[in-house]
Amino acid sequence: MSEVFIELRGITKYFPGVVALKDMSFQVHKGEVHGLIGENGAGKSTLIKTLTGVNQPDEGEILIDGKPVVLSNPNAAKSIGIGCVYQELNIVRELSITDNLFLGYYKKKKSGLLLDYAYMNKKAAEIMKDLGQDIDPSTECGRLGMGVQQTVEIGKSILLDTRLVIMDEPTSSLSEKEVRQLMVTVRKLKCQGIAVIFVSHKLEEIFELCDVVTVMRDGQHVSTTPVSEMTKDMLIANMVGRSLKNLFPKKPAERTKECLRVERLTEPGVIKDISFTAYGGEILGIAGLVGAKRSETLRAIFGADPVSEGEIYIHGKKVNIRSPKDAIGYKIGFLTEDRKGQGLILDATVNDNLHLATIDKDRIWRFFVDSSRQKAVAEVNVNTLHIKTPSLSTAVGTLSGGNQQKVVIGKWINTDADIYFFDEPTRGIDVGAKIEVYNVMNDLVARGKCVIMVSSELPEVLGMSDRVLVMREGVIMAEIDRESEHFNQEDIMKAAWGGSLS
Amino acid sequence: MIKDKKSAKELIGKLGPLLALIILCGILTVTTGGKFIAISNISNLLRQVPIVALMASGLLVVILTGGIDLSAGSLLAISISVMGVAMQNYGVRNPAALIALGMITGTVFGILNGLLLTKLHLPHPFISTLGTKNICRGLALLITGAAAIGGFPAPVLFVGATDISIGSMKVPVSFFLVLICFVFFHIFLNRTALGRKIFAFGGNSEAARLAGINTDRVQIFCYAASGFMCALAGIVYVGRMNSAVPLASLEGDLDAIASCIIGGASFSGGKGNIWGTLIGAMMITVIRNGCNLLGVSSDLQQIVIGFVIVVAVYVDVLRGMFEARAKRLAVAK
Repeated sequence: MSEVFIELRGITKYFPGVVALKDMSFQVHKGEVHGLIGENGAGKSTLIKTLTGVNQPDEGEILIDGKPVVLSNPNAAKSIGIGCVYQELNIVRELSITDNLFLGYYKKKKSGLLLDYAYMNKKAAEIMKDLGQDIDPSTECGRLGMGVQQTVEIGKSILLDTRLVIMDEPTSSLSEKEVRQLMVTVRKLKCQGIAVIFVSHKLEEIFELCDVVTVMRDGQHVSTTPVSEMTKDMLIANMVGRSLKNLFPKKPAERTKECLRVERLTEPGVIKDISFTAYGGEILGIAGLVGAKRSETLRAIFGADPVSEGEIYIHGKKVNIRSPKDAIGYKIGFLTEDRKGQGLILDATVNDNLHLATIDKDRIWRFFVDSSRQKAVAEVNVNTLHIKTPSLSTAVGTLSGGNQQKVVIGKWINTDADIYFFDEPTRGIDVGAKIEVYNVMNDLVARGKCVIMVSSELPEVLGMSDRVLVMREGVIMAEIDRESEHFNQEDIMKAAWGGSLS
Repeated sequence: MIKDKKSAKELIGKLGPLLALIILCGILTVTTGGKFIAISNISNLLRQVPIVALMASGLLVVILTGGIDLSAGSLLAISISVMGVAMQNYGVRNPAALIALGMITGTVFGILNGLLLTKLHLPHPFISTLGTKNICRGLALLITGAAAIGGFPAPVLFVGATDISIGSMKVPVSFFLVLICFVFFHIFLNRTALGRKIFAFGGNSEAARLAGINTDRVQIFCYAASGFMCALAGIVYVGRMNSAVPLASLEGDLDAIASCIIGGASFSGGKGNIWGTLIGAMMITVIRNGCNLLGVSSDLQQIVIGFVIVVAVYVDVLRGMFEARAKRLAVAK
C-alpha cells in the first residue's frame, strides 16, 4: 500500500451540549479513494470541516506526510493541498468555466494589469480534459449540467495542486449518466496520485468506487476496512449498531379513526406517488436519510409547496389544500424543521409567537385582538408546556432552543389542531427538553390527536412511533408496524438505503 | 408568576428620538435668539409637519413589512392632479366628490403597487414602486398639462388652509388631522388582528405564511394604506397651496422614509412605531425650519438632514448590537 498522506489522531470536537467528534482517528493513503459513511448526525460533516480548516479540533492532532500540522482556517487547508467539493457547489453561474476555475487566483499578463486569458483558457481546457470533459472553457457555467459544474469545482482543486479532494455527497443531485462521468473523473484523480474522501449515502457507489471504507457512528470511528472485505449488511450493522437507550417515555394510546389519508401525491422532481394513512391516537414516524424528501412531503400536504397530482382526505373527506391557511382551516399544525427560519419571529414576544397562527381567533368587534384572552391562554401554555421564560413579553429569540421549540408547539396547540406534523421536533435541544417534547406528543395522542413525526434520529423514530414510513428520494420504500419483526434500526436503514425487506 | 416589566434601558431606547428632538429644539432656541420658540414660529412648524407626517404614517406600515414605497410623492401628485382635472375639465364641483376622487386615486395606485409585488412577483418593492413613481408623476404632468390648477371649492381647502386659535396660538386643522390619524394607526397596529399580522409578516414572512396568514393580502393592504395616506396628505397640500400642483412633493417620499427611519423603524421590517415616526417627521421639519431661521441655505439643509439620517440609523445599529450582546450573555447564562 502507498504512503499515508493524511492522518487524524484522536480528534475530539465539542459543540455546546454535544460531542461532535470523539477520539476520531483514521488515515488516508495517497491515490486512495476512501469512502466515509454513517447515519445522519454521525459526525461526517464535522470531520470534513475539521479537515478543511473550518472547525478546529479541541483535542487530537492532524498529520500530513507524517508531520503534525495545524489547519487554523480554510486557506491553510487549501494551501496544504486539501480541497473540498461541497454538496452546494460554489460556482458563479454567470461566469465562464475559465473564470470560475481561476476565481481569486487570476493569472496576469507580464504588464501586471491585464489578465492573461490566452494562458488561462488553455490551462482550463487542459484541466477539464484531464478530468474527462472535452469542453470549450469559455462556456458559461450556468449553461452546463450539474455534473459538468461539479467537474469545474473539482478542477478548482486540481489548479491548486490539491493532494486530497473531499467530496461531500457528490452524487446526490446528479443523474445516472453524470454519476458515471463522476466516477471516471474520480478514477483519473486516483491515477494522478490524488487521494479522495468520498462521502455518500449510496452503498452501491461506495462498493463500486472506493478502495477502503470508514464507518462513523456517534462521532466515533467504528471501522476502516478494504471494500473487498465488506458486505452491505456488515456496513449497515456497523452504522447503526447501538442499543436503544431508555430515553423515550412512550405511552401507547388507543388507535382511533382515520385522520389523514394521502393518495398518490406527486410533484415532479420532488416526491412521487406518496400514499399513506394516519390515524388518531397514533404517532406515525417518517424515517429516511437526508434528501429523502420527508419534509417536502409534509410541506406539500400542508400547502406550503405546490403539488401537481394526488388527493388528500381528512377524516375521510376529500379536501383541497392550496395554502397553509387552508391546511390550518382543516386543523393541521406544522412544527417546521427550521425553527428559527420558519417557525418563530425571533424579535417578537413569547406572547405574540404563541398566537401567530391564531391572530384571527376570537376577535373583538371583528377587528380587534382580544389581548387579555391571549395573555390568559399564553399563561396556560407557559404552565402546561413548562416554557421557561422571564415573562410573556420576552423576545422569543432570547430563550433556549428547547423553550423556543415549546413555544412553537404551543402555537399549534392553540389552533386546536387535530393533526400535528412534527418535523425534527428535537433537533438542537437538550435531553431534558427532548423528553418534555416526547411527553407533549404522548399527551396529544392520548387525546386522540394524530401525530406525524419526521426524524433523522433512528432511536427517536423507533422509540416514539407506532408505525414507521421509510422514505428514499421522494418515494415511500417501506411501512413498518411497531409489532413487525422489521421494526429495528437495521431494517429501517436497509430500506432507507434502497434495500428490500424480506 | 410571570409579570410584564419594562427595563429602564428599553424606555430610554424608545424615548431616544424624542430626547434628540427636545435637545435639537433647545439648541435652535438658543442659536436663533428665541425666534424658534416664538408662538408664530410654532404655528408655522405645526403647519409644515402634517404633509410629511401623514405620508410617513402610511410609509411606516409599508416599512414594517420590510418593504418600501418610493412612489409616495408621486401618488400625492397624481391624487391631487386627478382632483384638479376633474374640477377643471369635467366640472366636478362637489367637494365630497372631489375629495373622494383624490382618495380613491391614491388608494388604487397603492393597490397597484401591492399587486405588482405580490402577483407579478417583482423581486423587490423598490422596483415596483420605482416604476409607479415614474408612471404616476408622468401621468400627473400629462393630465394637467404640467400646470397648477387652482380654484377649488372652499370645503376642499378647509383641512389644509384653516387654523384654529387656541389662546394666542394658531393651530392648523391639519395638525389635528395628524393626531387623529396617528392615534388611529397606534390602535390599528397594536390592537387589531391585521396590525399584528403586519408585524408578524415583517418579522418573519415565512413563519407568518406557514402560520396561515394570507401574506399577499397583508402586503397589498399595506401599499394601499400608503397610497391612501399620500392622497390624504395631498388634500392638505391642496389646502396649503390653494392649488393642485403636478410637481408637488418631489422629494416627499424620501422625507417620509427618513421620518420612519429616524423614528426607529427597521428597514428589514417587523420593528417600528407610529410615535417614533411622528417624532421623525417633526425632526425633519424642525431642521428645515431652524435652518431657515438661521439663514442656512437649502443646500446646507440637505446636508444636515443627510447627516441626521445617517447618525440616527447608526445609533439604532449600535443599540441593536448592544441588545444582541445582552441577548447572547443572557443565553450563555
